[in-house]
Parts: sequence; C-alpha cells; structure tokens
Amino acid sequence: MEKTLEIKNLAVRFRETRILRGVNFCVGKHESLALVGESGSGKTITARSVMRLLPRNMYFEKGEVLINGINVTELQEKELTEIRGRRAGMIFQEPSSYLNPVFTAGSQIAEAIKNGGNFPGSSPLRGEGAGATSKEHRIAQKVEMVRPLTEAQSARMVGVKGRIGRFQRKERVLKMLDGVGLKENVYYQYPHQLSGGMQQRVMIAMALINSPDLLIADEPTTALDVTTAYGIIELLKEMMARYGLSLLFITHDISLAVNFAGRIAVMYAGKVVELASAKEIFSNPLHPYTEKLISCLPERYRTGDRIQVIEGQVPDFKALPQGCAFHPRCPYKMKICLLEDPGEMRKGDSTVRCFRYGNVVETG
Amino acid sequence: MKSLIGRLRRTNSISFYSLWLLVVLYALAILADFISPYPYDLQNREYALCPPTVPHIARNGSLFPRPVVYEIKIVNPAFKEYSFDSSHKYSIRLFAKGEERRIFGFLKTDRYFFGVDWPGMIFLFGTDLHGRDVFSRVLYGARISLSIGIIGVAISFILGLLVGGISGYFGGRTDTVLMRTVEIIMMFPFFYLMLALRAAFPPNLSSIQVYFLIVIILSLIGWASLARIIRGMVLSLKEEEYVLAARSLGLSSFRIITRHILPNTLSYTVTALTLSIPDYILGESALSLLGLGIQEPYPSWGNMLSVTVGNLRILTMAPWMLIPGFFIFLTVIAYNFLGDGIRNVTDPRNW
Amino acid sequence: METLWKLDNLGKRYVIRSDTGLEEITALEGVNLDVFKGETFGVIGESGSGKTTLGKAMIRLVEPSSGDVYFRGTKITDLTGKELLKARKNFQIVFQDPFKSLNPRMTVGGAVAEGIQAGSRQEKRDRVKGLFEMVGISPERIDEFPHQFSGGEKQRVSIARALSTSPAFIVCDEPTSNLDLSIQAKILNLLVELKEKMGLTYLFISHNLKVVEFIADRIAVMYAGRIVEYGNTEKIIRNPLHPYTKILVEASFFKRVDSDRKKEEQVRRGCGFVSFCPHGKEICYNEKPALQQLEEGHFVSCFRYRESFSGR
Repeated sequence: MEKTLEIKNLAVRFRETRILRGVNFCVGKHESLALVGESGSGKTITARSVMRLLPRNMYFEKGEVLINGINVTELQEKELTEIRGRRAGMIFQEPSSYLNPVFTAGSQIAEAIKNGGNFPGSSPLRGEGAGATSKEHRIAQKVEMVRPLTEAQSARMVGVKGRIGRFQRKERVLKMLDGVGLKENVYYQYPHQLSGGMQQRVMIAMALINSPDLLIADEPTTALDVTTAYGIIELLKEMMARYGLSLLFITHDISLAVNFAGRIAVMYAGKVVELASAKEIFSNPLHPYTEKLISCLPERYRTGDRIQVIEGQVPDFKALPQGCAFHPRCPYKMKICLLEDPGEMRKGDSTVRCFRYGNVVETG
Repeated sequence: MKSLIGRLRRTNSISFYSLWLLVVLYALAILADFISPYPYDLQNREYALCPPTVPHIARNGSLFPRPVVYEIKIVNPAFKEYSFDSSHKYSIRLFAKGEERRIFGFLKTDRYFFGVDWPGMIFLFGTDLHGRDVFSRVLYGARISLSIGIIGVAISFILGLLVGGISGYFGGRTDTVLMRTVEIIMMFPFFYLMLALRAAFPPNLSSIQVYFLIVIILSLIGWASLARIIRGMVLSLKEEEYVLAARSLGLSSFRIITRHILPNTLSYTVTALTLSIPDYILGESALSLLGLGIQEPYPSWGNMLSVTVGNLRILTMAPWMLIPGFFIFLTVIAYNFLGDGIRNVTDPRNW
Repeated sequence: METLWKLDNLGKRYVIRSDTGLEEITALEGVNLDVFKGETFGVIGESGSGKTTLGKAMIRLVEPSSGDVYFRGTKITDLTGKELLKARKNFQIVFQDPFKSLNPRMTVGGAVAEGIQAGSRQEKRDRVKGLFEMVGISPERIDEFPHQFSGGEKQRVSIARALSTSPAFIVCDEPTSNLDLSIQAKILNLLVELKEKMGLTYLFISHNLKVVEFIADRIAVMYAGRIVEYGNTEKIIRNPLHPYTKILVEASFFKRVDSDRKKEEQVRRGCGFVSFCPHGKEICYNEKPALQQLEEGHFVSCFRYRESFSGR
C-alpha cells in the first residue's frame, strides 16, 4: 500500500545556505505523524515544502516529495494547483492572518472548493453531482491522479462548464461547517467576529472541503488558548477518523505531540534525528537531543527543582559544526561525532541518527 | 556623526552624493561674495538678456592656454540679439582682479574666484532683463532659499515635536486643548494665511526684516500637521512594553518622552524633515513670486523666477532665466534622497 | 509569613467604542488576594481572563478603577507623583515579548542602567556588568543593541533591568510564553535561582498550567476578570473544584473534557462562567459567587459548594 506522504532525502537551501539537509520520513494512510522541533530546526520549511509553498529565495536542491506516489517536486505550477487543496490541505498557525477580513467565512470556504472533486477512489464526502471540466480532467490524468472516466462517470459531469453550482457549493460548505462543529450562522460571519478557535475551525473546513488524503497542520494550536487548543486537537482526531485522513502535524511542543500523534519525528538543524512511535519516544528516547528535550519539560519536575537544560544554543545554518550537528551540546559525544555526520540507523522500529547505535555515515 | 556618513556612503550611494551636492550648494551660497564674478545688483544695461557666455577650451582643434569666452557683440539692442565673436577672446582667469568688494560684509578684497579682464564679460548663466549676471544672482539667491528651508524647518520641528509629544503622552485636557489649537491652525489655507500674515505687516520692510518674517510665518504654519502626526505616534508608542518598563522603573515623564518615545518617532521625523525643507523653499519662492517675499534688487530663486511668470516671450527669448528653477529642483531632489538615506541609516536594526 | 501585597476588591473597567456604541468591558472585578513574602504566586488564565491586567493594575502601570492595593501596609493606590515614582523601585515587571520589551534604539546596557540612580558613570557601568553576569549574559555586551540578541538573551536583559532597582517583588508576565522549550527551561531556572539568591517574591502570570505548576507555590485561577479558585498549587491541580479549573486541568494534562467553547454573549449578571458551565443553576445566572474558603488555604467561588463552605 503506497504511503500518503513520503519525503526522501529532501534538501532545501536558502540562497547559498542549506536549510534542510536530507529529511526522510513518511506518513502512511490514516496515520498521524508529528514533526517536532524548536525554532531553527527546519520543521516549518519542511511543512511548506510538501505543498511547495516555499518563500522566495528558498529552492529545492534535491530529494523527492511524494504525495500518494506522485512526485511533487517535478510538477509544474499548474499541476501543483491540482494537488494543493485537493490531494493535500494545509492549516497554519495564526488563523486570523490566513483569513481575509473582508470576506465572510462561508464565502472563503466556498472559494476553496475545487471544481471536479469527483475522482474515483474518493471518500464519501465527495459526492452529489460534482463534476469536472474536461480540461481539469486532462490535467488530472496527466499527473496520474485518476484513471480515465467510465461511462457512468462521464455522464455525471455537470453542465457545459462543469462547474459546481453556487447552491451546491453552499450546501457543501454548510455540511462542512457542521462537520467541524460550527453553527450554521458562521457562514455569514466575518473572521473578526469569530473567536480564535472558531477561526481555526474555519481554516480546517477550508482545508478539508475537497476531501484531501493528507492534512498538514503547521502549529495550529500554538496561538490558541489551552482549552480551545484541546478542542481543535479533538476535532482533528475526529476528522482523521471520519475521512480517513493522514495527518502531518508540526509543533514545537513535544508533550502535545506525544498525547496526540501516532509517530513522532524530531528535527534538529535541518535533519530528522529520531523517528519513533509516540510511546517509544517518551519511554525510551534514543537520540541525545530528544532525551534532553524531554528533560526540559517543566511538568517533569517538582517546584523548587532545577530543570535539566541543554547547554549551548541551536546552531546557525550558516555555521554548522563539522560532523554531527548536535555534538557541541551532546553529553555522550565520541571522537567520531566530531568528524562524521551520522546517517540513519535503525533500532527496533525507530530510526535515529546517532553513532551510539551504529556506524552509518551520512552520504552526499 | 562620522560613522553615520560613512554608513550612508556604503549603503545608499545616491543619498551620499546628494549630501555632497547639498554641501556644495550651501558652500556656494556662503561663499557667494567670493565666487560670483559680479555683484548681484550690477546692471549692465547694454547686455540685458544676453545669452550665457560659454567657456571654450579649443577652437579648430587647437587648445587654448586658458578657457576663454568670446566677446559679446551687440547685434540688435532693441531686440536683444547678440552674437559671439570668436576673434576676440578673453581668458578666464582664476583669482581675477575686479571691483572692490566686501566678503561677509567685512573682508575687503578685489580678487574673485574667477573672472575676465575688462572689457570682457563672463555671464555663465546669461543676464536678466536688467543686464545682471544670472550666475551671480543665483549664488546670492541661494543664501535666501537654502537658509529659509533649514531655519524654518528647525523651528517647526521643535515646536511640533514638543507639542505632539506632550499632547500624546499626557492626554486628557492638555491633549484636547493643544489639538484643537493645532486644528484651528491647520484649518486655514496655507497659502492665504501666508499672504494674510505678510500683508499684516507694512510692505516696505527692509529685506532682512522681511526675511525673518517669512521664516516665522512658514514655521508657524508648518508645525501644526507635524504635531498631529507626532501625537498619533506617541499615543501608540506610549503602550509599548519598553515604555511600560521605563515607567515601572520610576522614571519621570520628561525622561520617558525624551529618551524613549521621541527617538522612536525619528524614522518618521527625519523623513518628514527632509521632505519639508523643499516645501519651505517653494513657499518662499511662491511668496517672492507674488512680490511679497524678498524684494528687488536682492535675489532669491523665487523672485528670479517671478519675472518669467506669465511672460512666454521672455521664456522663448531667454530660457536661461529658468535656471533658478533648476536649482530649486536640484535642491529638492537632493533633500529627498538624503532623507531616504538618513532614514535607512538611523534605523538601529541596521547598526 | 509577612504579607507583601494585599489586593482589596481590585477592579478595572474599560470603556470602548464597539459596533453597538459605547461599551464597558470589565477586565478585572472583585479581586481579593494576598501575596506573601518569598513565595511565587501563580496566576493562570486564558486570554481575556484579566491575568495580565491584574499584574499591571497591581503595580499601577494601569490605573485600577476600583479597589485598593497595599504593599507592605502602604496604600499604593493613593500614592501620587514623586512618592509613587519612589515606591516603584520596589516592584518591577518582566514582560512577555522579548522583542518588544526593549527600546530598539537604546543599548542594552543603557536600558538596564536607567533604573540605577546613584553613582558615577563608571560605577553604573560596573553595576550593570554585575547584573548581566547574574542573569547569565557576558558583561562585554553592554554596549550592544537589542536586535543583536536572541529571544532568550533579551529576556535575560529584561530580567537584569528589573533587578536594577533592587526590588523586593517582580511581576513576571508570561516571561517564557514566546520562547522555545529549551530556552524556557533556562529562564525558569534563572528565575528560581534569582528568587532564592535575592529573596524575591514573584507574581508569575501564565496561560500554561504546566509551567505554573512547576514554579508557583500558590496559584489563582482567573476567568472573565474574576478569581474563581485559589490556593495551594498542588491541592488545586490534584483536586480542582471550580468547573472551569477542572476544564483547565484536564485540557492542560490531556484528559477527557467538554468540547470547545463558543464565544457567547457576556452574561451581565451572575457568574461569568455560567454560559459554559455544565452545572449552571438559576442562582448562577443571577448572582455572582464570592470567593469562599473550602479547605485550609483553598478558596473557590462557585455556588455548587455553597453548602460545604466551612464557617469563616
């Protein structure tokens, strides 16, 4: 069974400096993976790379990003717009920044509806009378997202232009609003009239309205209150169950990730240094950075104790240390750590980049 | 200060050059007594509306030992036509001898920066209606125009910053009273207010008195809108966290306003400053244009242009009369670029 | 234990212009609490709960609309002019956003030196260097500008500035909320160390219950401008009484909880929490519950416990 998202050896640079230096991980169907890292780890860039929403001056250097087997890095801009929103949706950190203040919530969600959501193999939400224009369909065929239509499916194509009608859109939006736990009147409200939690739900509605297979969530709860954030997390879990979503969840909060995701990938200085199941990571962290990160959590201490901290600072991408990027701050460092960059090594079900578990050296 | 200029050169070359251009202009104005070959009021009636005497360096392929100007031959005095006779040449000499004059009002000298021997005439920018050398008048006129800009702006800004700062920081009744006053001032149409204020004084004031009057008028009008804008900025800066921190440290309001709030209005203030100076120069020109500013025979760029107003014939016959306008343009542009550069350079993020 | 602060019915109301004309927003209401010398008193609440207003109103960075504040017996709310400026030296504040709490045009050394009144220029410089060392920043950096420092370092500078007047008390307004986990840990450690070394008392405001649990001896839970529960940290977290506290504890530590609240219209009278409370009864809509002591040192404002309140 192919994976929903596969990232292979992804390298991204900012001008001349390498930011992502070989990121590898995958998210299977119906799986949730949390990408955890502090600022400067490269986690946000990784998230943007999936949908190729990189800012100016950032370029793909090498590697592949495969969504449902399709290599996104090779697509043209036009083909990419088919992927965005349809195969994969994305939600961001500050919902108020990503919602246009002069349009109602309803109209923005409706705007996100793509024509022709009715591809074979789609989940039940896509349905009733939506059709595709022949042009869009040809493009979709080209990116091998869809097999040629059967007779029955051709017959279901709507109208001359094949666009989804206004009323059908509204219906879909209302259905979606209900699905994310918002009342119908939110359709007519403007973003500033909604609370942070409601805005985030609107964003989720926009991201999921075309029933994508993958949802990328870039720190969706960081800007929200604790109780609101909890509601959003519950909502995401429900969406995953209902629509069979795969979820890539970016966060800096490892304790949040552990309570919520199936697997966790820890990033440091542009690489995934450990990839393991949530249970494993907390009970048996392999990489020294993971171990130290967990020991920074205040909830593990009693009042009056001193929290065990990591010495040093996150390195600047322009001045990475030679060998393993973490070695200056690592309590277990060995001679080889100063010379060579560790490659990926397996220990049980987990993957880790650390010479304590093997001798694989990073190539390329 | 030195480092600021150095930084300017590195980052914004155009504003660096603008700075030098302005320095040159101001130097010319200050040294007008010495650099201009003729006094500003010396009339050579036989040479009225004479075109510029262009210095020539060579003729027929042979270099002259010194740049020369050709002799001016009067072709038709009634129609003010002239031609240049290349057979009679006058060398341009540095530190030429001429009539005795006082520099800065007290240094006596009879030497000028450059000139030609009598009876040659050197009119680098031509002459005006009365036969006065435009070049010399431009230099003397620079004194008025350039200084009015700076002094007027300085007064306006001190007033504007003070009033805006106090109004914004203290709020309440102080704010209301000050702002209503400002609005009343702003209500008046700038131009008519200027005219009215000028007209309130007797028309035959001496030039110096008129000069000061103009400066005061311009600055009294100009501070109002600045005060409003500064007040707005202060209102928002007041809530910044570092201001709250300063308050909690127990610092006095005066100190907070001067050390924390006003310096952070600098980016706007400096830009506005450099953009206003041209306004003041133009304001003075406008006044002079209407005959309410600096009076004849004392030149200012404004009143030199006033002759050409509505008088197309002069323009077609003697386009060099517009040269003062070109100098105004140059000054305004230079200040613009300089302002850009200064704003960039004073942003601490670039330090 | 010496009582450092006594807040008596502290309140703060704002008048703002809204879509429906002038509206009065109650940011704080009826806040009664004591802060003891040497403790870290945590204030936990979400956005709009009034926790930041509490911190600012207490030290009069924001003028209270009602109530009184006593510091070591002196009525702070009555002080004016020079007296107030002098009193301010005793209580300082560290802000949440390290980027906005330092004047970008001032050197960090200058910012920290502002609070130091006495001494020659050299003495002041030495003192500032000393403070820098205390907070873990190289003293060589006193002439640098804020933008040359990282977020965590800027917070250290802010802490140094707060210490410059040798205060007895510091309001820490979400000092670590904008920082990465590992940096947060360091700053928390620093705060704890400084408290022990210099005998400080803190008011620690946060929305993160995990952090507050770690650092605070006693906490007050705030909702809609009122304190709904307060007392010993451990007791409250282990056994939250007020319905809101329960939700907060469950959401922070990830247990089952009710779904997201919607932004309902503010109920004018009655308990501020009633619109979301699963146990709301008629009295809750009509009267505001007062803070009452339930067990030793544990106060709650909720009508559910009306019967169980021990006699005071």
